[in-house]
This record gives sequence, C-alpha cells and structure tokens, in this order.
Amino acid sequence: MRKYVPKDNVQKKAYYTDRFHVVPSVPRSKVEEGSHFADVMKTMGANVKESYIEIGQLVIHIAPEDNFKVMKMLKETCGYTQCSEQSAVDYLAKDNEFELFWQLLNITVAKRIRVVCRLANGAAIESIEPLYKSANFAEREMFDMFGIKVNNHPFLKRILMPDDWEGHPLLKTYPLHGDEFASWYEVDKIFGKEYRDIIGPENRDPGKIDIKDTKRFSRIGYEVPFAAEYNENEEVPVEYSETALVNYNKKTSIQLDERR
Amino acid sequence: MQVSNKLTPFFENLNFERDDNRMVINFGPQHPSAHGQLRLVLELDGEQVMKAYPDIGYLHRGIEKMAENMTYNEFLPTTDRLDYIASTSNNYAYALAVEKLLDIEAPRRAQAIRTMLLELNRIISHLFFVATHALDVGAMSVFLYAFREREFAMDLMEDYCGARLTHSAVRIGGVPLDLPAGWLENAAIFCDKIDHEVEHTYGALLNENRIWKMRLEDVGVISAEDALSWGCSGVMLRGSNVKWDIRKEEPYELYGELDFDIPTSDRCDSYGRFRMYMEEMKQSTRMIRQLIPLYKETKPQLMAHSPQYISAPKEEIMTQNYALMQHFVLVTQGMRPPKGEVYVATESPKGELGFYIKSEGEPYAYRLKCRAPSFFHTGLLQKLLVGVYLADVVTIIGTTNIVFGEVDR
Amino acid sequence: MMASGASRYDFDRMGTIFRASPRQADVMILAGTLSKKHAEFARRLYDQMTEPKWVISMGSCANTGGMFNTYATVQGVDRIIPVDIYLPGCAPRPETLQYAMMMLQKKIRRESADMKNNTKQDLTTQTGRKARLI
Repeated sequence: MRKYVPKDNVQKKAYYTDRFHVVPSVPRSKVEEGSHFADVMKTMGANVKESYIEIGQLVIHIAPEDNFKVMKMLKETCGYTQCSEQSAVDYLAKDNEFELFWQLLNITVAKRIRVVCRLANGAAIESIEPLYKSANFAEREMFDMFGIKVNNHPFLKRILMPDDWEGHPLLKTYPLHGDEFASWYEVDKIFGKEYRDIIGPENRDPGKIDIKDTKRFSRIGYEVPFAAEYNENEEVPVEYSETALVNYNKKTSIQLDERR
Repeated sequence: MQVSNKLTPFFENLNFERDDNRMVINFGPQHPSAHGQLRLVLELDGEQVMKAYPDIGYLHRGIEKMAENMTYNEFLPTTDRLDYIASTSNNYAYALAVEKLLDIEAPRRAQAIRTMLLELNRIISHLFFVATHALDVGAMSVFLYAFREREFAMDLMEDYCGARLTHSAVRIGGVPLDLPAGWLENAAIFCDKIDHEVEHTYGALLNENRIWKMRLEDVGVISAEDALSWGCSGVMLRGSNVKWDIRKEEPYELYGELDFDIPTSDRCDSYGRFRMYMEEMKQSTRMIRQLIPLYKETKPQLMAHSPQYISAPKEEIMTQNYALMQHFVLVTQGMRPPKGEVYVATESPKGELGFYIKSEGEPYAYRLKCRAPSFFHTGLLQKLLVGVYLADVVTIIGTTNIVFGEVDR
Repeated sequence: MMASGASRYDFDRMGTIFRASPRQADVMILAGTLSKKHAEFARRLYDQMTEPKWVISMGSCANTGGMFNTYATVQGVDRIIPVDIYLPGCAPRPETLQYAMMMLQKKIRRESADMKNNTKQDLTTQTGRKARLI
C-alpha cells in the first residue's frame, strides 16, 4: 500500500521527532508603562484584541474588518509613516484561516509594529493602498501567492506568476515542484500540448543518471552528438579511479618528487 | 479581452494598436538597460510617458517556497541568489533573523569579520551601480574603470570565501573561517585605492561632467512623503532628505561602535542619489579602516556556543563524542528554533532588507518572507515614470538600483 | 557576464561583442535561471535570431534548473531551445565563459558549412517548425 500523505499540507516535514520533544516559545513581554508603545496602545483603545512585545517589536492583533481604521490611526496619530512589509501566512490546514501581517515603521522614534489579523478562507480584506502606496505591489503579491482578495485595490492582478497561471504557489497545498499544469506550462505555451511526448517530462531528480539518454549530461567523460542513438558496444574512453584503481598517492608522491 | 496568440501577447486593459496619437511600447523583458528581467509597458504621447506599468516576475524562482522545504542551514546558500551583486548582505540578513529567533549572538571576532564583509559588499554593489548607471546613461569609460576596482574587491572576497559572486560567507551563529593571512593589509590597500578612485576617477569623470549633470539633474524627483509612502529605503529614502539609516538607528553588529556619517541629499533627484552612492563608498572604506584595529583585539572564537542549535567547531567534533552526536543530529534533522515570529531589518546596499520568519518549532520554517528593497522600488516606477520623456526612463531605472534576483525572488 | 565584458577579462579580444538586438547576434547566452514566465520570451528571442545561430547555456540554473528545483523554473533550457555549450558553475566565473566561447569557436570550425548534418538542430526540426508556422 502507498504511504498516506496528508493533502492539506504537502510541504516537507521532519522525518523524526523525539516523543518527548517540547517546543519552546520565543519569550513575549507585556507593554511597559510610559514607553512609546504604551502611548500607541492608548491610542488604539478597544481595537486591539491582543498585544505583546516580541523581539523588540510590538505585535497587535486586530479584527480583519478594522484594518483600514487601525492603519489610519497608526499613520496619522502615531507617526507610523511607512509600511515596510505585508503578507500572509497559510493556516488553512489548521484553522481554515490566513494570518495577515503588516510591518509598520516609525522613523522618528525608530520603532516597528507588526499588525496581525486572522482572515477566514475566501473572505476579502480592505486595501490600505490609499494610506501606504507600497501596499500596491505587496497586496498584489499576496493575491498572487495566496489568492487572498483585496477590496478597493486599484489593479489587483497577478504580479510574479504569469496571468494564465493556475493555483497559488505559497499555499501549503501546493507542492514545491509544482502541479501538473506547472510542469507542462512552458511546453504548452510555446509548442502546444501535442509536443509533450516529444519533449518528455521534467527531470526533478537531481541525482538521476541514464546511460541511454544522450540529451542530458549522462555520458560523463566523452562527447557524443546530441540525441545520438545508444550503442551497447561503445567503449568509454575515459576510465575513472573506481574502475582502474589508480594509486593516486603513489602517483602524486612521484610528481612531488619530480617537482622538488 | 484580447485573444492571446504568438503575435499579439496577452495583456489586459492595453491595446497595442490604437487609433489616437498614443502609442504603447513594450520595454523588456530582455532590454539591455533594464538591469535584468524588467518588463515595462509604457503608454506614450509623442515622447512623453503617460502611463507606466512595470511587469515583474520573470526571474521568479520560488525562493520563499523553497524556504518552507529546507532546514534553516540548508536555505542559507539560496539567499545568495537574492541580490546577487552583494550576496553577503543577504546571507547576513537571514542569519541575523534566525539568530534573533534563537536568541544567540555571534562572537566578537565574527562580528568584526561580518561588518567588514558587509561594507566590502556595499562597495562592490555601489561600484556596480556607478558602472552600470554610467553605461546606461552613456558614459562607457566609467564602466571600465569601476569594474577594474570591483575586481580587486572580488579578489578580496575570493581570498576570504573562495567565491566571486555567491559567497555564503556568513553562517547562522558566526562565520565559518577566520581571515586569511595578509587579508587585512590588502583590505587597507584596497580602501586607499577606492578613496583615490572615487575622488579622482569616477568623481573627476562624472561629478561636474556637463552631459552627466544634464541627464541626471531633476530627473526622477521623489518627495520625502512619496518615498515613505511607497516603501522606499536606503539611498532612495535618504536621497529624498529623510535621515534614516538602519545601521545608525537600530545598530547591529559593530556599527554602534563605528564612527561614520550618513550622507543625505535634499536634491531628491538622480544626481543627488548618485553623489550619495559615491559618498557612501567613502564612508564604507572609513568603516573598514576602523574595523581593522577592532578585529585585532578580538579573541579567536568564530561561532557562537549554543550546542542546541549550532554545531561545535570541527576540532571538537573530531575529538569529543558529545559534540559529534550533536553535529550528527543538527546535520541530519536540522535545528529546531523556538516557536514564534521575527522580523529583522538590515541595511543592505539597496535598502532595507528584512526577513520575516514564522517558526512553528519544526526544522523547516513555516513561512519565510523576504522583504526586498528593490521590490518596492520597482513599484515606485509606476509613479516616477509618468510625465518623463522616453530617454529619461533608462536613467530612472538605473537610479533605483534594482536587482531582479531580489525583486522576483 | 558583465565582468567578463569589462576591463579585467576583456571579452572583445576574442572577437566577442555584446549586441543589443537578437537580429544582429550569432550567439545567445542564456545566463541564469529561466523561469516559466520568461520561457516564452526566450524562445521568441531565439526565433528572432538569424541562422546560423548558437546557444550557450550559462550556469547550473540554465543547464538543469540547478538548485531551483521548484514550480517556477524551467528544468533546463534545452527543453525549449537547442543548446550547444553547457557551462557548469553557480555562478560561472568569467574564465568559464571565455573558455566556452573558445570551445564554441572550435565547434563552429568543425561543423559543415551547409548546416545539413548539424545534429544540434534536432529539437528545432521536431518542435521548432510549429513555432515558425504560427
């Protein structure tokens, strides 16, 4: 029987985990009174569901429908004038949700905030493009990679993948080597589907060696014409140490003596 | 919608054959002055750009997806291929993010070496910028001179790590090797050379060059507000008179102890940014000179001591049983960082290079997001190119200093 | 590739000059990873070049996909374009590119002038015809 592989997360897993292994967590601390972050928290008020400081940065969890309101407050009241990064994390397998984050920067006090929200699968998020223009590309990338729809975005379209691509690559259900569509994409596009047989499937195994294949790099040591017929009786002109058992130590010592 | 076939490429909202005076041209993806695989669709009215649309993704290799399928140490050489002009800055940004997650700190000698390599990479990258920018604008000889000096820097990198472009010279927790004998002396000679060349070769050729100034001045003007809003960083931000440098504001490694200036420019145009690149090279040499005595005072430890995450030095692995076992587990299974998320920004030659890592306690990162400065600078092009003339388009692409390994990832 | 054209390695002395248009070029150097999005354009560039034409695949990523064994990369440019010389290395040194150019010159000298027995056109005869007809 074939081994069962879960379909909802096809990324690589650890092949062995100790039964008694306890995963530690990065320490999280409370916001201190009187600090800059405390002022931010006061301004935010009830919009924040959860907040803590993780590795020097304030993390605030908000509801997905509040994102524009919160960003506007952060930008206009608290001076977070740059949105340096925005993307999503796929938690579909566990919670059927995406985790979205925005990384904001205040350059006057040199502080960073991460705004985090959980968005249900299939729901759309409001665009923050009117506030931060950098969201223009970042939201398009998020749409391309995860398929998260963004409301009121000026031009929501695939950015990194081609327009006619199928699937969203950074989802956990999408395999690293691509699906059927991805593996034939360039052949279908350039030559057409009927040429799949001539060109053949992709070689995804980096260690594969096929002595009969003269189109790849299989015949090491001597040159044959591209796509030449394989001949059983042909001689391999170069011999390697594994076959001829050359005593390299002896040879090199002789060479060294000569050089001296 | 257009029907896509070989002759009329699929492109929604844009019609290449038009009845009015406007013309849509396709710039790239293999344009020699597009710095890689940038495709721009420009709508022109006569010679003036009315609408610009950068189309990227022609070098997309799925690096973020690879990170989810690789252990943390395996992924490090892949970061070389992000910004392949200055690889060490990528390695460093990634290593720093993982170190913050693991809560370890590299030993002082490793920090000195890292800072030196980062600044050397900054010089390499800036020389490349000056060379290609000059080549695009039409000054061929500067290209030849700048590449001459770049080869010296490449040789220094090669002496240290053995590679010219893809260094992998920084590891998680430190650096793998100590500096070879004579490296510091060569670096000092190189610094003198760069200072001299910046002043007397590129500076003399370009700074007051009438043609150069005519082509660069008042081209690609970005206001400070726009620069912040569009997510600009690095020279693009400082060129708009915003004094923000992560090396100064959130110092990492030995930058807190070094004495250096941050050049800013209130011109907001390409010429101001070009002058800042030249100035930054001088500041980098100044930093390398300060680092040479700092390096000599340090103890010889190169990798942080943290047996849970980092393998012991090779001598210990070869002699002590427990170190060998740890090494075996770390190599076969990979390190398991604590659960949590981290975003660390560093000042790469192009701007703010940050890594966001979400760890679920597995040997594979749950999510890794690379915040590439060039990605946002490419986004800015759709605002910056509107209204300029076609001849200035190349200048503006050059001045943003984008590298496509980083834009597309 | 930029460095091999610049001052230290000086490509011009081998009679190699970079051209900005495929219509003026004899050799196409595929430097670096070819993504699936780019494949169509690379093939179109190859079709735009005039005969005789040669192709150098530069670097592991172009040869086999290299370390980028992912959904977005073409696993070897020889899937879509016939290649004459494969350069190893990631990234190859400028010397490698120069040596490849010398090897290619040697190979061109060996080929017959009428191009009839030129075996590297194999993929073109099988698959290129369709691309030209359209």
